[in-house]
Amino acid sequence: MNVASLSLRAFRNYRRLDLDFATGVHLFVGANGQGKTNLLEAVYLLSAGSSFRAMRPECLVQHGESLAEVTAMVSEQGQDTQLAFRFGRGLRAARVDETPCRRLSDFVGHLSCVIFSAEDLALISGPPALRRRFLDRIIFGLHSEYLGIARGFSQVLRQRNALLRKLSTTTSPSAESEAFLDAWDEPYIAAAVRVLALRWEVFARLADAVCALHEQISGDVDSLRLSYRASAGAASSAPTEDALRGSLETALRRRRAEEKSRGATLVGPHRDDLAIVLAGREAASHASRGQIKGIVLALKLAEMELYRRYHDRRPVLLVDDVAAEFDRTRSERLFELMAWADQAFVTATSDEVVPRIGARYQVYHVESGSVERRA
Amino acid sequence: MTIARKGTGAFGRLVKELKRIPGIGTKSAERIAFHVVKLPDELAFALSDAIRHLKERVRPCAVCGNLSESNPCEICADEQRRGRALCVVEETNDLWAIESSGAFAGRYHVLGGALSPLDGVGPERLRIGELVQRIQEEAPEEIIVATNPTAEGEATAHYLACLLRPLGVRVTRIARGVPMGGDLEYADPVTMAKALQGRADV
Repeated sequence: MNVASLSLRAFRNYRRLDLDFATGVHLFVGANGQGKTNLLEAVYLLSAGSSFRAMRPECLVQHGESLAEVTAMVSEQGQDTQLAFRFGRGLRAARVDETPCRRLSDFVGHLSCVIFSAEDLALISGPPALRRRFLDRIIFGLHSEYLGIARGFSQVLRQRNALLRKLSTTTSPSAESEAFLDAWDEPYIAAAVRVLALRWEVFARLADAVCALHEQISGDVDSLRLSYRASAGAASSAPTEDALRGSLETALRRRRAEEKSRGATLVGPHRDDLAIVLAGREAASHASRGQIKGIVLALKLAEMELYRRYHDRRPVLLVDDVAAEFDRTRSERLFELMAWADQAFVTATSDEVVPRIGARYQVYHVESGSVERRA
Repeated sequence: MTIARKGTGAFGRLVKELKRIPGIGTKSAERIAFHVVKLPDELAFALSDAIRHLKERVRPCAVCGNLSESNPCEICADEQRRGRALCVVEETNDLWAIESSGAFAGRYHVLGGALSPLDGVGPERLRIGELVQRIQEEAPEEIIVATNPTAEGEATAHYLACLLRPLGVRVTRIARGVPMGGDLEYADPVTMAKALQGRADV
């Protein structure tokens, strides 16, 4: 799939911008702070309904304006879809082909993107929340119902945590507090199982793809292994819903006293992690910086592979500041990878990466909110 | 209308009162207030009289919590409905929804909400003590828990089930499934899964 045109109104440092794009690689070149990444962010916003820089949409409105709008025509196997996202303080309105979307889940999924930026290197050594978010974002892209399922879960979790916090500070009779907690365990477990069932399904496919791809790109013998580290305890590689339910029930019972004294839910999808093991050792603590880059590359490639397998669609690739974090060989691999996508948007501070681009490409010069196409 | 914007004067006062209503923001409140300004006097006074009468006459039923002008309410006063099933709902509008289906011939019990630790609502804030007392006095043959299928409603249902079963009364939960006259392809996955779990022989 590809983005055929993109229009920005009062988005970040762009007052008004209209661009048409062919397929192939589009390289935005400019000094820092000129608005290169903002262009990738706009495309990503239409795919996920949120920024990859973890900002609320209203923060993306140009200073002094109250409303911003990002519009794009997306082309997929000859079918054009118009996506529009308007937002400002207290307003978010998404439209697909001029039809307003009642829920965000009706909007996401029309445009599939895989983003690759320097911040992604934190996926390996950063906190578990980053790895959960990586997996969750892939699931959002593959299963539109996951958005509602994840929201439902976080609502029950907040309720259960509020109750545990209250129990940890008051000295209510224990039989009574047990009954209060029992009441919330049932909806909590049901919501957690719905999240975990999709997590396990997508994780299993991701793990397979990552291992195969890592072997291809690293070319060395170091084997990469991914496993889902469940806070509810070890599980088989493909647990049934009954097994997920059973392990949650057991773990919640075992840790109830601890949960009550700490005032928080300690077992569930929000406490799980992905274990990334390279040649038998934890990658976060043992992998070199170069090895980490290779693993992240494999993760992103696997993400693209999953879109192909699930939806028979090749996502648009977004690569932020390609030269900064990648040495020559790895960025060459990265450019090879761009040929996998129908279309890629790439930012760089200089156009010295151009000779390495194998695919059809177009260079743009970006300077303080204006974008100029180079011949 | 600078006076209205500042929220002072008679206009601002009405806007302020209207904004207390859930779902009414400043814009809607101002639109309603403008409408009231333009109304003929008798219609505007009829509106304020209606609000006054409602507040003077409608009270929660002392037995079930249903909103009614009589006490006990018409449903609790109906001897035909005595001794049958007791249907537990969160709010009066849920009661009206079930009542308008015509499919239930027992009595109701309005809890006045659902468990919600985030809002500080524990069992003591709901009319659960009254429910236990009614079960002991009226000895209904069944308790149908018809709280909403939300996390809060489910937790409330589970809490009630654990509390009431020891009293020796049958406790049931309303079924969840696909809506009548609807297309299966439009059912959300969670509802679909529940509908499959709760399938019945034909």
